[in-house]
Amino acid sequence: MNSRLGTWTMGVVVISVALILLSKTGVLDPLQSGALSVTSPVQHGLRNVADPVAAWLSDMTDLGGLRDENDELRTENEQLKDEVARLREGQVQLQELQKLLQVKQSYPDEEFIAANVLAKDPSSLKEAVAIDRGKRDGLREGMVVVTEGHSLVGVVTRVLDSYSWVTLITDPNSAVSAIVQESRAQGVVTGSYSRKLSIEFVAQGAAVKDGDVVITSAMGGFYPAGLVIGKVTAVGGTAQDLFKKVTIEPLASLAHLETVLVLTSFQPTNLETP
Amino acid sequence: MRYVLAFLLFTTAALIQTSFMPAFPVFGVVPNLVLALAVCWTVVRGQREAMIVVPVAGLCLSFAGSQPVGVATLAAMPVLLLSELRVLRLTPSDFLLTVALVFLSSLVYEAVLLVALRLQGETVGWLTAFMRVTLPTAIVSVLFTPPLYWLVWSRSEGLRRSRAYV
Repeated sequence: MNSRLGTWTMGVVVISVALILLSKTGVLDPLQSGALSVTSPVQHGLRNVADPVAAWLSDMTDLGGLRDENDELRTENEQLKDEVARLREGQVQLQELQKLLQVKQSYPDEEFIAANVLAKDPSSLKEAVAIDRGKRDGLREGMVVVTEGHSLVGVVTRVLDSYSWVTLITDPNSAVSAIVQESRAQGVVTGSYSRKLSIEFVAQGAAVKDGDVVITSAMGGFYPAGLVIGKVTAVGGTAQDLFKKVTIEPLASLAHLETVLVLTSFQPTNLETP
Repeated sequence: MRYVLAFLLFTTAALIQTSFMPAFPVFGVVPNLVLALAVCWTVVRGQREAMIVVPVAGLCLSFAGSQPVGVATLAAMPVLLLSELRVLRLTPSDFLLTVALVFLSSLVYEAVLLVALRLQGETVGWLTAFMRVTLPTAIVSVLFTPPLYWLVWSRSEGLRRSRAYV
């Protein structure tokens, strides 16, 4: 190797390390925010072109799958309509009982900020998306992000002036305390490098089956209880295993996010620290 | 002027990589267009220009990503060192060398990112990450190399002519 190249490479490495350290202190955040600000119109445009093309390609290659999905959705729709009717009935009864018992509503009003998804992290090692809301809009690290249908997307992990990075629940380092709605079995939903979700630490005796709905639990204090994460798609493992192997499919279409809601009224609390 | 053009090209590649390509994942990953372009530039236009262009490519990736600024620049630097292989003339054509270097550089780039993630306290599954992300990304980046190589090669006719006279 020639010495000029070696010296130059060492120089750039030293500058890179200095930039990393500076970036950790937040000094370079305005620069990063500025870069996103300048490029955001182009990114919007590119996403607007890419998403319909990707949807069209997906439809063309999966016509049979679409028919099956359509049938499944029709059945599910009927079941949901039935469930909604029963829940409405239940709510009326609950309100009447609350009046009788004079119970005060304990749920705080939820407040959201809508944000557009601009870009995805360039490395496939991280499942993170950039959104066009930041410190100026009151966003803080740890805030929970959901879809417009209120299913869980992820959590804000880096906040710049006008932009933020949201780590998705499919990220290999994501862990969400969860509960299987039907059986009340508890576990932790984790992401993976294959972008699949699984629920860990589900007791072997728990009655978990395909199609069960998995929602967040308030355990740990990082997420509000009751946000829908996804549906169970496979339950595996042997009777000798300590825990069940449960795979779930996120309800939100995380690969094609356009608009998300940041839950600003929920304050995450780290219950690990006394 | 050539460095301004390089900056614009790398910025465009970074935007496509972060906003357009995620809609079309191949083997579940997105190609590292910026890195592949930097390798093409290095092989076609030589080490002298690469010494400027590779750090610029790294900065473009840094500003487009969620990692601290500098991590991607650091991860891209092995491209410069691997460009020394060009001098050894191991392959009969520059294109084959480019393909080999894109594959190697991509592996090294992702490995450096994994180390950076680990140093930031994240849990890293080394083997799973290699099988599910690092290796597929290297392969997919190689698949996208021909058009990028052609782009740089076709814009370097003057440079090739001047080399032929030397």
